[in-house]
Amino acid sequence: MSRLAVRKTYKLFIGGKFPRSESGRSYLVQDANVALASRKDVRDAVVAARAAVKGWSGATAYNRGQILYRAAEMLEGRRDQFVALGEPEAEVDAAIDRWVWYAGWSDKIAQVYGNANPVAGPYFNLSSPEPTGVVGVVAPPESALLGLVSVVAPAIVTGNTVVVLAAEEHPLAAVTLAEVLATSDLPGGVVNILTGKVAETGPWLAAHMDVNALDLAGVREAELAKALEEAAAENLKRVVRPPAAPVDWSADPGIGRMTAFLETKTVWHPKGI
Amino acid sequence: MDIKPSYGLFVNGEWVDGEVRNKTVNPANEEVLAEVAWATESEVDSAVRAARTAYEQVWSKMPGRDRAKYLFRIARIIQERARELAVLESLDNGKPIRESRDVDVPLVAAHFFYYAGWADKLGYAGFGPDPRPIGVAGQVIPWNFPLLMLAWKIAPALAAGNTVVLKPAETTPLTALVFAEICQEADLPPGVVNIVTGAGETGHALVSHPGVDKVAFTGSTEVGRAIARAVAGTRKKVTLELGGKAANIVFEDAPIDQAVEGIVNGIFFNQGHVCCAGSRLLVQESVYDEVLAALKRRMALLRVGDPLDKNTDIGAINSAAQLERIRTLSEIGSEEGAERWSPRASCRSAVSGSPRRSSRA
Amino acid sequence: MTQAHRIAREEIFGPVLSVLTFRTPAEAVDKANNTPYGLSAGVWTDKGSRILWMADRLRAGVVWANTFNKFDPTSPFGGFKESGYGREGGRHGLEAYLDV
Repeated sequence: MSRLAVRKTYKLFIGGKFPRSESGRSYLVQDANVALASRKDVRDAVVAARAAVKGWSGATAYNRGQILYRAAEMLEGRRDQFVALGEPEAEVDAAIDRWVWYAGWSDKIAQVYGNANPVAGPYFNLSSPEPTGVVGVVAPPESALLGLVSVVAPAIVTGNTVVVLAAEEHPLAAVTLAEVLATSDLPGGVVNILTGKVAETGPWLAAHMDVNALDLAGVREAELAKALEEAAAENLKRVVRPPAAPVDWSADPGIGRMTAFLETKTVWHPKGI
Repeated sequence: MDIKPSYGLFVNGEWVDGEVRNKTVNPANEEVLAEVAWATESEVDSAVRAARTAYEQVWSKMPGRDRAKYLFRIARIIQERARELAVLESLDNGKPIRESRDVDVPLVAAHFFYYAGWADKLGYAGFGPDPRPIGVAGQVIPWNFPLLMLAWKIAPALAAGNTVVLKPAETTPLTALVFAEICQEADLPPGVVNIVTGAGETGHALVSHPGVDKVAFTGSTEVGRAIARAVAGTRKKVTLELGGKAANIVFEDAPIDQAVEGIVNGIFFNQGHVCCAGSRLLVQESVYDEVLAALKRRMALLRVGDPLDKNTDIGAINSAAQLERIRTLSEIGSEEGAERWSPRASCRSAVSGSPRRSSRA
Repeated sequence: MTQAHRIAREEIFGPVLSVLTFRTPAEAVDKANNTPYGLSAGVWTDKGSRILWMADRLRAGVVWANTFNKFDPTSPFGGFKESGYGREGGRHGLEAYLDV
């Protein structure tokens, strides 16, 4: 006798929990009912992301690396589940490898992107990268898992927290990633994932005064991209614009997506006796 | 030193008369120093085109070692003309000659030397084996450190292989114009550096010009926001160096005399016209009385006066408009109940003219 | 005065100093960071470890310890938050003019 499956409800991921959209709305996509996030959900996600900044950015680089590496292990365990969602196997593998690659950067980026500066004076002068804070991310519409990992991992590995607007047409990989992260050691609020319409939630995220930066990787309409960037100007968010040409997400990403969300702090420490 | 009675725009290595003429004054006595142009949109367009041609045909193709040598030449000429540049800076800006001579101009030369050395080592800078320049940079700088901000903008841009169109502030155009002469003296290829003087409209025309690939701005957060909006939806790269309200934090174990010197330097250096000025003093309660008493004693010794007098600590506020802004915010402070203290104004100035332009510590 | 005063919050760009007090290092950090700006900060103490403890927590692009308003071509300058983005000076200043 065939068994009747338990059908899954896809919800939002905010502060380590899976709430329904405050609006109670959902939309049909990938043969599933997926939560349609509202302005209130954006606000809640930003609050959760902000609350997580202190602990996450204050953790040691080694600790962040360990947590992210552990998440890669969980990701590997869910490999078949992502494939079942329709993600090409090669992309799922590349996404897991990408996550591991970024995890390893946690205790290296400061060595590669920081500097000791030989100033003309009795000072030990050191420039070191620090996380920007809360980063709003619009996930790419293509390569639902690989593209997502390629924009989330670089932002969080350095100590930022993120509010991600999942790909509108392929949100299931994002929700499944949320399930992976929820069962990992990643503190709640470091990654928050909202499903729904980017045209609806994007403007609230871009205009939010407690968001420090925006990655518009997934915005494909020029008008929307411009409007979001204009809104971001209000508190001088750092903005990564949408790609000028189609992106090969499997290519070597370089360190640009990490450094885009880093601030350089330069300390003049006196030398003396 | 001779200031010309009139300056044009420096475009494609040549001087062109501007359509719109204006004057720049010495803020210490309000005497007119020279007539300058305020570049129009079409004049800005000519400058951007010149920069584009120089970028494509000359500068981006030139080996880094040759770009380096041009920058070394410029640095050397700045050192040779240091005295003249310092006097000119103090005349046009109002800052004490001791600062322009000992801080601004030496840092300007050092900045060109530093970036000159990068021009032929870009592949070792950690940005890949053969990093490419961006193109034409549109640069807008403020009036508080006119020549130093020019150096911060132009030296790295040229070292990396970009060409520039730079707009100095409308109240302090003179050292940028003399810098244009220095570029000529160094035989810098035409169009690599273009200087367009003018006010906000000129700046707007520059940053919103479609031929500009990189926008660099130093100034107020308010204008920075407007620029961030103006470039939205373009592919222009942007860097913004904007306002501040720095805390200067004094702990009870601090060397108090040294700290007081630092507090004074933090807020009175360049009349406080500094984006990174230490304008919020945070003192640990246990030493509050001691620090405040020492600070008041020290402030009473500050000499407000002629910017060209070597003994002057505090020169002239750069413009009447700025003085008005400072007064207004101070008045609001008093109205909101803040306790206000100033030493008796001790203007040992030899400057004639309106005393209202002198700042009062 | 207090942090609520406009003169203690808005950039004045002139020779006017707002004076506030604090009791503990943590309170100093909170007050120092309580601004939309983040360009620079100064710390005055004889204790080297306290300098670094403070420097870690101050949200500012340049932190001067037992000095202020020092500049050097090798030393990056620029702000956090609404003080802008990008750096001038040093290796980071070069990045601002490269297509990276």
